[in-house]
Amino acid sequence: MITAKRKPISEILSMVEGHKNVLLLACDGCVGIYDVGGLKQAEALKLELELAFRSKGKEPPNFTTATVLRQCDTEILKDSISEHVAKIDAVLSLACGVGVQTVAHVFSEAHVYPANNTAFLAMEDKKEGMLREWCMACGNCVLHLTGGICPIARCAKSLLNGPCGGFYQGKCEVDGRTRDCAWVLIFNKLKERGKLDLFTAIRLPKDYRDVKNPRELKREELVLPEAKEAIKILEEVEVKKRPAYSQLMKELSEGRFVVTGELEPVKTTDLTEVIEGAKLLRDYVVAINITDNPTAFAYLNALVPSYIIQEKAGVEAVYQMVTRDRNRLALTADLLAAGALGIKNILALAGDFTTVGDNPQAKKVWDIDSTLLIYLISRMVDEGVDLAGNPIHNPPKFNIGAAANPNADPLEPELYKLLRKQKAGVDFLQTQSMYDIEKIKRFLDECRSIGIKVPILIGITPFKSIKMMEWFVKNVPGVYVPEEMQERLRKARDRGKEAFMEENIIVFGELCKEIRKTTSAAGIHMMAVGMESLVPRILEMAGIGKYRSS
Amino acid sequence: MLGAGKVSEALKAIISPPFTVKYPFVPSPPPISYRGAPEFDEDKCVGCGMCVEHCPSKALEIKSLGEERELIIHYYECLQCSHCNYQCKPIYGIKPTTRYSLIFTDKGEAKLSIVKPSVVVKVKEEACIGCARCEYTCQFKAVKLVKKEGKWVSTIDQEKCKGCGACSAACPAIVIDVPLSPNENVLKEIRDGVSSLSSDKPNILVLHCNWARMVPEELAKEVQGANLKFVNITCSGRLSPIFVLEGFSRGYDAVMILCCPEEECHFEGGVKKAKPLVNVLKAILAEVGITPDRLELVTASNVDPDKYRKALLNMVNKLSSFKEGIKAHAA
Repeated sequence: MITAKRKPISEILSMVEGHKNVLLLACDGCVGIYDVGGLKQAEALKLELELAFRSKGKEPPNFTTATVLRQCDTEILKDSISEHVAKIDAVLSLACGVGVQTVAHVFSEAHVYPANNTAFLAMEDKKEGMLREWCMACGNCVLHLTGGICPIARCAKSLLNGPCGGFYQGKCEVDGRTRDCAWVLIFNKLKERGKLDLFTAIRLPKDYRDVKNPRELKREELVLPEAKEAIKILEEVEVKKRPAYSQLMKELSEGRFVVTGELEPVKTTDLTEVIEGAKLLRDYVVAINITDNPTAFAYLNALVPSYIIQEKAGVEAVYQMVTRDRNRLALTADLLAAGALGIKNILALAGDFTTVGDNPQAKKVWDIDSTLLIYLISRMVDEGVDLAGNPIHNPPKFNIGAAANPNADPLEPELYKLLRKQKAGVDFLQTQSMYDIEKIKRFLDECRSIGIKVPILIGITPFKSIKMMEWFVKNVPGVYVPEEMQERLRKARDRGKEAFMEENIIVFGELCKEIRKTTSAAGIHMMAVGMESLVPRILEMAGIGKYRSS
Repeated sequence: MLGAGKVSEALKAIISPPFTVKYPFVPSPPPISYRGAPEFDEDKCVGCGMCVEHCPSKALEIKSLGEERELIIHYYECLQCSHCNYQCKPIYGIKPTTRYSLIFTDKGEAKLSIVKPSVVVKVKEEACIGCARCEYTCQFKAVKLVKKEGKWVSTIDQEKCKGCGACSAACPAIVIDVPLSPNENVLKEIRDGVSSLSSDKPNILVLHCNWARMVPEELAKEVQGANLKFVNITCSGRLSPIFVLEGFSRGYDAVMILCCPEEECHFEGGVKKAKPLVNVLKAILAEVGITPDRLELVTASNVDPDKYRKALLNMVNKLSSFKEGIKAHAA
């Protein structure tokens, strides 16, 4: 049903001010049932408005109240309130936006105002007293593919191939982990029913053609079968062995232990810092990730520095792309541009939620999710077509990376999602920050046992300060920093800042050494943003040494 | 062998009068505050039937007689436990007598009945929107949505309904009315009080629970310096926002709701339903330019009825400390 929420009295007051006879029109439909637009609310609103007028020292208009069965029905409306029309000059409707407009449409001579803000389509849980958005009227139902749980309405990012990396203990990180992650629910439901193949299947992008508003339906045609195509799923994808186009992929396919770095362009037009950082790293890493609006902060477009570091510093870039900010048109355009500029690696990501960023008011996009971005790039590279199948002249040559979140809780949905990404054509995975060698081993074992064969690079983030470490331990859910490591760094900090940095190098050097020696990891992804100078020393300490000599 | 002492003892017993009373031919006075067979108090019983709900041995019964209802005590089943009396505090529409005898010469005497006007809530079926909010709210499971002539309407079980009015408070379409305190009567009383509003003293509208331990006349005497208008709304769980708004709208300077704490609520949970509504109303009052503190819900336990008087006095004092003065409305 449609829910609504009362507008502030001051706003309503400014609408009805100056009118003599105002009809407060309730609706017995959805909003009446939900206690915001019924006759009682109309009676109460009448008294509230009178009080508000008097407290301002003004004489209130003459209010009358009435209710109709449904304000969204033109005929019912005409029959029920025609008796009032002669006596009034304005209608304050307590219905949803449809009701308000129908009143305005039917009684074109009266001024019509809304008393409520229309909210969303809801299910009601009377026991908890909650209204929950469970449908967004997207016009193309996928509930048969998702265990009866709608990912469009109930996933904050509306992902068709979730979950993203933002759930912990089954809760969505958007709005402070108060709601269940829809995709964890979907996973559990499909697993329960023995339909995990439906989970790992790739749901192809939705057809948004008839979601363009205003939508119209002819009454007699409602039950005719839809002419448009149902949402498609790919249960099995023909896996083509993709050549190693990039240096990074060549090294990985030859089984060499590799290191990748990471640089973050910020809110600037000055690229010197990025170039300097790349120069610092170039001898030690095979490629450098360039972040794309990380944590939803609007920064310099990642494509430009990706190109510049290849040109000026002579080191390969991993161009990160998030699907939060661009629809499939913009993504395709940027991918073609990246191809033209000689970018060889793309890391496909969904991106953090808009509200955690520095422009929290922004509209979220997520036309497609990270899995579908991988699928889009695969089609471009392997088949030379875009998502809709249009041929590309001189298609780009990319190797595709994706992120893995070993800190996911529960881990199983994440693992099956990685399996799905592998199916979509991913070439390598880079994990979030990890600190515990045992956890790294466990994660790699789990990945292998479930059938994930692509090379995995373990993410390492040295600590800038003891504060950063404590923030990490406290605020990044699922991250486990072993007590022993914390203790060593804390003791070092007591001896001074220099000692802390030195200890950092030793601790992470040892960790990298362990990863190389004892695990099946394909390499290390060094996320030492702002601490590029530490990377060479950590790698020396780990005995990994230089990748190339300048 | 019988000893001499025992023989004399036996002889004494033969000639002395009996120790026991010749019941039932001779009445035996019960001890003070003996909890015997219960009786209805004709004046105080409202016929809600909560005693029936609480009777552990099912000795109490409700019979619907259409516009009236009959409450019956079956003495043969009665345990004389006084649960019925306890739950009706402090009104005590049903009271234990000191009578313990269960010997009746006539079968009809084995029960006692009282006929009261029906308290069952009334549904305007033609206006019911079928939202089922009443059905969910009723804790006595007395309300059911039933399909009548193709339309889902709220239907009340004549025996289960206690007339508390929680469904009426929940109804968004004003189709359920409470016979114990009909909407029209409450509003009329609020409006009637307007003629006696004082121009210098603060005017306080007091909406009170039927079972709150207080006597309006006494409170009015004790709380000097204010003009109090008492309106009985049966139970705070039946509070309608319109009562409060109507009060302020008609010129009262404050509205107080006097009721019982949750654990003592006659209908169990009335105030639990009223509290969130009072919070919403406070926010609305702030929006329409009336200090929210002019509305207050006071709960006082049965053992501490003085709290009502203190709260009223406190409100009187508070009113004079508001920056806009005693009066809620500019003259």
